[in-house]
Parts: sequence; structure tokens; C-alpha cells
Amino acid sequence: MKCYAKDLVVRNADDEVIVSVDELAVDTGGTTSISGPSGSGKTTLLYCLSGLIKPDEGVVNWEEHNVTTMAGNKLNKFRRENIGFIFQSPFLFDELDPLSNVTIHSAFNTNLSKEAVNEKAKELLDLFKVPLKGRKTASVLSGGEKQRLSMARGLVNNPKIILADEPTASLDKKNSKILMDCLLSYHKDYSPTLVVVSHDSSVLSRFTNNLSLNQRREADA
Amino acid sequence: MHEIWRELSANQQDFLIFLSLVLPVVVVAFAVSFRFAPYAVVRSIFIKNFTVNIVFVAVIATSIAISVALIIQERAVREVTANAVNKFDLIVAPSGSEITQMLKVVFLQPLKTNLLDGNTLNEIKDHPNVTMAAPLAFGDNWNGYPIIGTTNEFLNHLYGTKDIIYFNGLWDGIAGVGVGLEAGRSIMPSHGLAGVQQRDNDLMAEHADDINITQVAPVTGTPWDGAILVTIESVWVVHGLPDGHVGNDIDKPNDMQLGHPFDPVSFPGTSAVIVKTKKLYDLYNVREDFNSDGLMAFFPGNILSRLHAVLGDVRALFSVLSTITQFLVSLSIILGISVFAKLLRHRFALLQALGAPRRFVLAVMWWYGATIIISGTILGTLVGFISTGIVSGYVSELVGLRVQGVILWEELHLIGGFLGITSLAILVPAIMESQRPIVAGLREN
Repeated sequence: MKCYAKDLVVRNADDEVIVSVDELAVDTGGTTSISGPSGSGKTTLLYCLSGLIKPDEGVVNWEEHNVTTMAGNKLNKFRRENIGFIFQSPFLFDELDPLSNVTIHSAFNTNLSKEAVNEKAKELLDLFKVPLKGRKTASVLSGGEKQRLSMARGLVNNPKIILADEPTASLDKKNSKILMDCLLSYHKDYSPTLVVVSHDSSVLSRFTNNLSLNQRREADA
Repeated sequence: MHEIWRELSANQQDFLIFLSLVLPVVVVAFAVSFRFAPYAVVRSIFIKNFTVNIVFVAVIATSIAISVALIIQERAVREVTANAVNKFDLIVAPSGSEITQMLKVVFLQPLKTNLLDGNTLNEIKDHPNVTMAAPLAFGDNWNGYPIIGTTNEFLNHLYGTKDIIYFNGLWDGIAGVGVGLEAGRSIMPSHGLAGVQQRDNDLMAEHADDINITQVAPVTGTPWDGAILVTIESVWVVHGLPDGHVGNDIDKPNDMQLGHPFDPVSFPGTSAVIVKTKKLYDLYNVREDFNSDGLMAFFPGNILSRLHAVLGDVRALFSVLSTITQFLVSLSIILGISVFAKLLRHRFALLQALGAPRRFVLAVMWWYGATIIISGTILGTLVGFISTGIVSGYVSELVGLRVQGVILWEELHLIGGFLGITSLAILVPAIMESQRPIVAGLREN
């Protein structure tokens, strides 16, 4: 799904500009990274792209869908059907088993059959090398496995857009590489539009398109 | 509509009331979770803070158990006391306290009262409307079980005609089912009312004459199950008094005349006379005729009704207190769940970022609260019912009444009302939580 964002401005409660982007364009199936130091508004920009934050100025269009004006159930539906989120921390339901964590989508996504979600989840967990056998709860997984499990959860709905917010921030180099390999391998197979926020040079080096946010604020966004 | 309602049986009406009370639970459950399956998320939340959730459930269970136990116990005592008084339409006794006489005659409490003479007994017996005038004599006990002297007509009245219970001879005794005596046993009565300390050293502490238990009476569910019934003549004889008849030979106990007619001159006295009449309304005439100087005739049912009214007032007070307690407990739990929800905000925000509608968060929160409340209510009902059984056993032993608690519609209505109201109340924190900003939730942790 093609993304086009223009003249984006986000201000904080004190009316200070925390994000300012003249133009961001990503082609359907394309990739881009957003880089910048801590507090430069990378996460805020990603939330703008998903519609979670409404910019004070500007517009974000995913093809004909303007997520800056979209609200309520319509926006939820758009996110549910089109966006796969990968967060900085895994944020798992530690009390549930790994498969239930990934298939959580089927609890609220009425367009997906439980069987289809289950099948897709198993395929992703296999692809991302997350073991299921002997893992009664997600809490017993290693840090790298947890993050890849979290990534599988974000992709189980076959998203046309993947928004990844510093997905390797909590990982060591080895696990960071495994995760990025998995993500890019998935991208190669399914060609969703991929936007990755990171300040890790080893991650950024794997993307040809990059938007750099250089403005640093005192407080982290 | 009103007509249709009136045509329904009491059970059908109660069932419909119960359904209408729990209807909000079903409607809300369906409305919030339509096309969703929030149960896995709810399960994870429940496990996440298992101890806290168990405490929530226990608090609700305790509040429900106390309410249920109170209602069941109060009703059981009311019913069993009403049953105990059932066989005593009218009591004629020496004037004094009606309550004291009722406690002594119906509930066999060890209380001292005056005696009626033989002329009075015969007057009652000869009243045109009276079909039974059974004298009772208290005074002895066996191992703490009261021994009561009476006549065959009273046995017939008390135990009915299904089981033929009767005295054949002077020393025959009928053991109440709760005494634990078998037919064929002999007992030696001790002097004095059961439970009253014997003070008169001049009185013979134990009688030389044996009472032969010839039959064990059927269950009545009254304190009389814990009594031993003997001929009234034997009570007098063992105290060295005349047997109330002319021409009886004490050496031929099986050939003696027992029961009416009594000789007023040799009649030692009776504590009370139980009266039965041909028609119910005749009881009022008899009561009028024997409410004179030195005598009182009263309906123990009336006295019990007055006691029940007092009991009812106390119960109403308890009901109000119990309702207030339940309200406060519910409020505390809902507030507790609301506070606990703060710890879950990140999870809710995550679900919404993944595309979960706000109604899904509402469903998770509602089901979480409802699970606690429903679990607590079911557990409380069971505990209330079981504790009623334990308390009933204790009360039965204490007062000799066969108290049995059962759950009826009244309790189910209370439970249904509690579930209905709390299921709606839990919507408030659920709605509030579902409306929180997603990004703020994502940044919490």
C-alpha cells in the first residue's frame, strides 16, 4: 500500500513542534527507515502514519485512505486490516502460550477465521524460529524469541503495511540480526510496505530509503 | 398482561422474576462480546494477578454467604418453630406468662409453673366443644432428656394414626427418636426438670421404679423428638402421689385404668392441658370459657406469631444491613478493579494499536469484572448454604428443633439482583477504560 505524507507537524502541549516532516513517500511494497536521535520524534511520526496520533498540520494518506481524518471504528478497522505493528518491547501476554499470543488477533478480528489465523501463526513462528514445543507460557522464551514472537503477532493479519518501532532496541547484535533477517525475508515473500524506525546503524544500513529526523528535544517522545 | 401474570403459578412467577433479575448479565455479556472472543485475554489478566483476584472473589463470596445464610437460617427457624407449635392448638394452664407456658409445653424448656387441679381438667374435658383434653406432667428426666407424663389420646394426636403409638401399661414409655433409646430398654428416671439444678435434697433423686421403653416414636421434627413420654399416672406414682383414679391396683400395672376419666379428689395436678375441638372456631369459645381467674387459655400459634414478628423486624434490619454491605463490597470491588485496570492499560493500548475496537477492550474489562463477581457469587451461595447446614445442626442440637435450611427463590432473587446490578455497574470502569487514549497507554509501562 502506497504511503504519502505531506507537511506533517505535531506539537506538544506547550505548542512546541516535536515532529516536522515536509514529505514522506513510500511505494507499495517499498521499504523505508526513519532515523534520528532519541527524542527526535521517530515514534511519534510512526504513530502519525498509523493514525494513532493526529498531526496538528498535514496529511497522511495510505492510497486513498486519509488516516489523519479517519477516526473511531473506521480507523480501527483500517489498522486491523492493513497495519502490522512491531513494538520496541515485545509486550506479550506472558500468561498465555506463544501460539495464543500470536493468534490474539482472532479474538477481535471478525474477518479472520480462527483456523486461518492459527495456520498463519504457526507458519510465522516456524519462519521466525520461535519454538512452540515445551513452551507453556510466553514468559519462558528468551528475549530474542519474545521479540520475534511479538513480530509474528504483528504480521498474523497479513498486513499490507508494517510499522516497526525500533524492533531491535531491546536485542543484542546476534538476535538483532536474526530478527531483521526474518523481517526482510518476510518482506521479500509478501511485499508489504515496510517502515522501520531505528537508530541502529546495522539496521539502517539494510534500507536504501531513509528519512532522518535530526531535531533533538529535551524530553523523549 | 396482568391477567397472564396472575394465571402463572408461584414457581413460574418466581422463575420469571429471577430471569428478569439476571437478564442484564446475559444482555450485557452478549452486547459487549458480540463477534468477539475476549476470554483468552481475560484469562491472562486473571492469572497475571491471581492473588488479588482471589481476594476479590473471596470478599464477594463472604458477603453473599452471610446474606444467604441469614435468610435461610431465619426462615428455617421460623418454619420449624411453626411446625413445632402445629400440634398445640390451644393450651390451658395456670395463669402466668403465656410465653413461659409455650416454651415449657411446646419447646420443653425446663421452666417451673403451677399446676391445674382435677376439677379444672374435667371441666375442660366435659366442655361440649372439646374432643381432647390431654394433661401433661413434667418433672423428671433421663440423662437430661425430659420425661413427660401424658395420655394415649395425646400420643394419638402427636404422632397421628399412621404409626400406632400407645401405652399398654402403667410403666410403658415411648422414646422420642432423638433420645437414642431402643424398644426393650429400661430406664430409671431422675427427679427434676432436665436442665434445672435439683435443690431439694429431701426429694428422692432417683426413683426405684423402672420405665420400660416399648416403642420409639416417629420423627416429628420438634423438641418432642428429644423427650420420653410416659403415662401421667406413672409420673405421679413415682413421686408417691395418688394415680388420679379410684380403684387402681398399683401391683397390677397392666390392668390399671389409664387416662380419662380422672378422679378430681385423687388427682395430683397437671402442668397444662392440650385442647382440641370439633371445629376450628370452637377453639375461640373454649379459650373464652377458660380465661378466668387463676386460668389462662391461649393459642401458642399467636404467641409464636408475635415472636416471629419481632424476628421479622430483626431480619428486616439484617436485610438492610446486608444490602448496604453488599453495596459497599460491590463498590469496593469495582473501585479495586478500576485501580487494577491501570496496570492493564498498556495491554489494552497494545490491543487497540493492533486494531482491536474499543468495544473489545470494554468486553475484556467487563468479562474480567463479571468473572470475579459471578465466581464470588456462586462460591458465596455454596458457602452460605453449607454454613447454614452446619449452623442448623448446631441449632438443632441446642433447642431440639429439626432445623433444615434449603435454598429457595428468595435467595435466588437476592443473588440474581446482585448479579444484575453489579453486571451493569461494572460497565462504568469498563467504558472508562475503553475510552482512554491509545498512545498514552502505549507509553505507560
